[in-house]
Amino acid sequence: MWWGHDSSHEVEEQDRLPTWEMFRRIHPYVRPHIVAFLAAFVLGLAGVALHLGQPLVLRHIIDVDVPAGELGGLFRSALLYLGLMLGMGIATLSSTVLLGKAGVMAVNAIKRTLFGHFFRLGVLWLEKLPVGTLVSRIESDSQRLVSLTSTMMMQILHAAGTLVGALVLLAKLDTRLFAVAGLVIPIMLVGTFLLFRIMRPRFRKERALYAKLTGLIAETVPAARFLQAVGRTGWAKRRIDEENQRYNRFSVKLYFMEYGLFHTLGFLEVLMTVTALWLGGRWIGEGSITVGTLVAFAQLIAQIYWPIIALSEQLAEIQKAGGAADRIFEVLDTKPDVQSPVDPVPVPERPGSIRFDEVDFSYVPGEPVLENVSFSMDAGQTVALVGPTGGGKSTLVSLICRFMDPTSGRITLDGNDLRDFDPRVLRRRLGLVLQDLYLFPASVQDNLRAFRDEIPEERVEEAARIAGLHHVIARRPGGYASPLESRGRDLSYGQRQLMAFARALAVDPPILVLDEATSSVDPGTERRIQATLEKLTEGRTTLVVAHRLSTVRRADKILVIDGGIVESGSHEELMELNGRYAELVALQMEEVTGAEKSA
Amino acid sequence: MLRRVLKWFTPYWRQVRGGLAVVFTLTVLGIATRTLYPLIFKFIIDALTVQSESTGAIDLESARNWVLILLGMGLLRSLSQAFLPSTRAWMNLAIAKGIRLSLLERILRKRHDFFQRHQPGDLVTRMTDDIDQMDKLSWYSCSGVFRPIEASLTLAFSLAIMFTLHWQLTLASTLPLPLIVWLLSKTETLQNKRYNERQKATSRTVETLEAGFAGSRIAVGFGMEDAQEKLFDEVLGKREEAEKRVVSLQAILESFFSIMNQVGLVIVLFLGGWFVLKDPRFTLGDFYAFVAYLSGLTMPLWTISWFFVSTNVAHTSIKRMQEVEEQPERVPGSEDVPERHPALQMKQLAFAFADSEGKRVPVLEGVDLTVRPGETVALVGPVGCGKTTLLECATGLLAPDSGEVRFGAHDLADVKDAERARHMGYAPQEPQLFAGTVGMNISLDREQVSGDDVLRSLRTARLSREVPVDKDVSQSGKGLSGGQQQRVAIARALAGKPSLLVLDDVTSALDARTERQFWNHVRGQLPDAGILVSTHREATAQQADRVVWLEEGKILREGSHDQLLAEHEEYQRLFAVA
Repeated sequence: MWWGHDSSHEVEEQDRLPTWEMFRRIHPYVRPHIVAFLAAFVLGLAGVALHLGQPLVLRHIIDVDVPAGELGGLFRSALLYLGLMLGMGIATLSSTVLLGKAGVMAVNAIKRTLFGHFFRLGVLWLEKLPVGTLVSRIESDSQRLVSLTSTMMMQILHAAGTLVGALVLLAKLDTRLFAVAGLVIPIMLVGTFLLFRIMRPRFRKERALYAKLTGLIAETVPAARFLQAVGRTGWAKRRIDEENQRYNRFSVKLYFMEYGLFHTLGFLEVLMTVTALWLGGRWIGEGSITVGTLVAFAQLIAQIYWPIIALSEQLAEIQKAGGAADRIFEVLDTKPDVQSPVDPVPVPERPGSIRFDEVDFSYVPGEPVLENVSFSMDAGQTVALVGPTGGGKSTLVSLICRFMDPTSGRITLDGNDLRDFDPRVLRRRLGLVLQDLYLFPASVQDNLRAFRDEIPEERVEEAARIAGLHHVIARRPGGYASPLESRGRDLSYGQRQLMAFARALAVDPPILVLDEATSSVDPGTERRIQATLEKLTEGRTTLVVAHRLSTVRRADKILVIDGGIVESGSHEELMELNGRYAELVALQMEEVTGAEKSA
Repeated sequence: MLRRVLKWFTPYWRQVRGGLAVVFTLTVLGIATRTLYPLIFKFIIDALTVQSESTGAIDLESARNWVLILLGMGLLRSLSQAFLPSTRAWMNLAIAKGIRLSLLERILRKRHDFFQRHQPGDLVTRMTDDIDQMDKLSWYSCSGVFRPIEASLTLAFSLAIMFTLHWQLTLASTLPLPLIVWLLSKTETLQNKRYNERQKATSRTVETLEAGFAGSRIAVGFGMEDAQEKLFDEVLGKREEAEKRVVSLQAILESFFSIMNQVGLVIVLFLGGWFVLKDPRFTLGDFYAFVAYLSGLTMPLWTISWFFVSTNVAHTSIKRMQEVEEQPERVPGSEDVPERHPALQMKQLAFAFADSEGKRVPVLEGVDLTVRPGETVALVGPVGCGKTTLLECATGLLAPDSGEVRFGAHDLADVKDAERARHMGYAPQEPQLFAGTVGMNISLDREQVSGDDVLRSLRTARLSREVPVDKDVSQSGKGLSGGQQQRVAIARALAGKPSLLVLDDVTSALDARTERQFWNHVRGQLPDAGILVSTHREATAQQADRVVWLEEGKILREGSHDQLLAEHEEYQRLFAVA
């Protein structure tokens, strides 16, 4: 799956958790189903034991029943065999079902934990990784991790049980035959282990190459129409063709290596059988061994080969699971940048004043984005942020939303440090319209009320009316209950923007945050919204970010942000100051007056 | 269904005919060595058990000869086991590439309405998961088909040898076989149903995850975390049920196969032993061979039964491929445009989209518009008035329902794609970037774009000071901010030295001052190009030679910015500082 592969930079594995540590960490997810797991393992081993009885029955028939010429003996042996096989069938069936179900439940427990934790880690963390990687963490990594305690463990037990059981039986049957096996089996074991060591880094590289290929596809398909427009479809196809070729070439080499080396080792099984038969012929002549024993030997040897391969394969899988475990527990061990205090201060229902006290912020230490920002917003005030792109306006917005905390200084809401609140409760007091107009593949209704069931339908409709969307929604089959396509693709860009507005209105927040909210709405629509917003901002503390000064000049306070607060004051005050703000306004006025003159 | 599936694969198989022949040869070799193995064993046992009438000794010489033959056969068997699966995997990969590129090519040729119906994520899934996932098209294309062939041949060879050894015992011991086959056909539908349910539940979970993460800023910002977790919990719960049902069904079927086959073995143990006692022609070696052959039948039977399930899985994916294949494609033109600076002329252009109920919703009506060389035309109007649609008609992305788009002396629809691309520079509203350097993103490896063109365009787009040309932008340009991406897209449109530049509201990330500087530089770089730009920014409208007011798909006014400001109230209101 295209999200099921990690991008190359993440495939580098270091500081692997020790295997026992891995098991210790998985334990909490497995524990609720521990009885099922254990029962499955016991039943699985019972199945192995019963299966190993088969060559012994055959030996008995060849050595005892047939020479005795007695039908009753044959019948008893056949019945015994049937019993063994039925027992094995039932044991294996129950083991598989128990294990499969317990495994699924344990995997899902990890998935739930991860999903919840991802959101606790916060926006900055989530936005650092591509969506595909995040999905892969939850989907493939969990699966791989739990297979440690389910399928992998079962196969290891199965293989080890078969190997040990077969060797014990061989030792009992004939020490000389046991010696033949005892000489070769260690070579096979060591050989396969070494091979998996050689293969491991190559498997990792293969996954990285596939991730690169899927990455190219994922960026090309959404660009299909654009590529048509600029006549570069052939170029795009060549890019993917080349990457696919690179991946294929590497994978094919890997497959030939893998199968080639393993079956070279597999030939040792043939050598063992041939040696036993070569020597066994003479021993039969001497009468020191029976034909039945030799046949049983051959059958047991045939049962040993696959367990050895499976054992080494599973040990390699453990290492792969180790990669998955590293990634999963690394995430689970990551403490959210933004934490809820143990005893959070209750957030007031209608909080009002916000204060920044000497706030610094940097994403990278030593490279401050904001420095020494201090200002206050009183309840019901509107504060506008203006300034150049990259000046830190969006960072300031993120700080108010508590997507992150200041590097130094503090932000208070009604006198309390934002860090004293539960961030989730705090954010429920905010209404956001961000540059990102994301809409969820859920009903229009759920999107507009941000999945808050307590918001009544009338309020949702009212918000849609204000945003001028009601008629658009009402026309949809199913109206407000109609599901939106993912990312709201069934709406135009402008409509999505209006949806984002309506969403902020529907949640009726005491604090409103508008970040570049109007950048792509045409000025006419913007003005319609503006008029509504005026009513709306009444009684709400509002923070507006916009390039266009017309939308901010009515603010109670205007902050010019460029790495910090460069200027602050009302429109009039700042005009009088004749600084950066005045400069920005002049630039816009110039356009208007130029237009007026010619009018 | 099987026929349809095989037919669909045929063209891809043709591409790798030689490889498939190798796979087939290795398959036959593998089967031969594997099915002969127990037979040679039989001869060894016979040599070791049949005592010579004269000496009473066993024939050790002959036994050892057979052991040597066994060694040779074992060697061949190991060889075929080493090369067969790897060659099959090779073919799987080669065919997968063929399928993937063919699908990509088709997607890249589709008409606009196709992209309205299909989301990119879903198309990507079709190009990756549907092909590469275990048991899907790649695996099925060679392994999935050859494994049942191998299994059937193994079955046939084994039964044939058993038959020659002792036909009565063969009949008796294969008694459960028809029962297995009958039950197989009965469970096929059920298996398919269970697998489909699981597949659906899995897709639902992935969709939920993707939506939650892609919208994380909104989800966290609005405190929707709990709602998201609840949603995920629900879909995961449903998937858990579906998965458990698959586990149970699969375990039951597998055990059933194994037990049914063991019943045959019990028959051999009893009847075979009895024949050894009563029938001097039936030797202990024969008895052993029967046990070995019958034990070896479980896997082939399972493989054959699995083939029907996997064919269904493949069929589901093939249907998803065909959904894409069957949809109409653009018809590329064939004419060259030799003119240096052809004018763009739209005559009585009309265009309508089909909404979700199939109703035609008119977007453009009776549009007459000309963009001459060296002229800048700004398209202004409220949201949803049809600006983007008009621009897409101008680039040839959309074919008008009626009316005509003339490019120089040609109908734009008749112009070769490559010619159109050579003449036009286009930057859509939402920029499309690709993994690679900024420079590559600007040039897109076009022949007509030199290194100097790239640097110059980077400067014109006001980006050269912010982002170095060799910066790697990573997948979809995520390494750049939204505004930077937009400016890379602008630079790309400029770099080809187009005779017609089409820009869809791309200046929204620039502040007013930069926007003015930008336009000055554009005119400096492309003095003779026709420029068609949609905008809601005054700095852009102001510098245009002509502004066109579009409302509800019709051109209502046309003139200079100043004229429109003077004469058209709506326009005035649009730009008036409140």
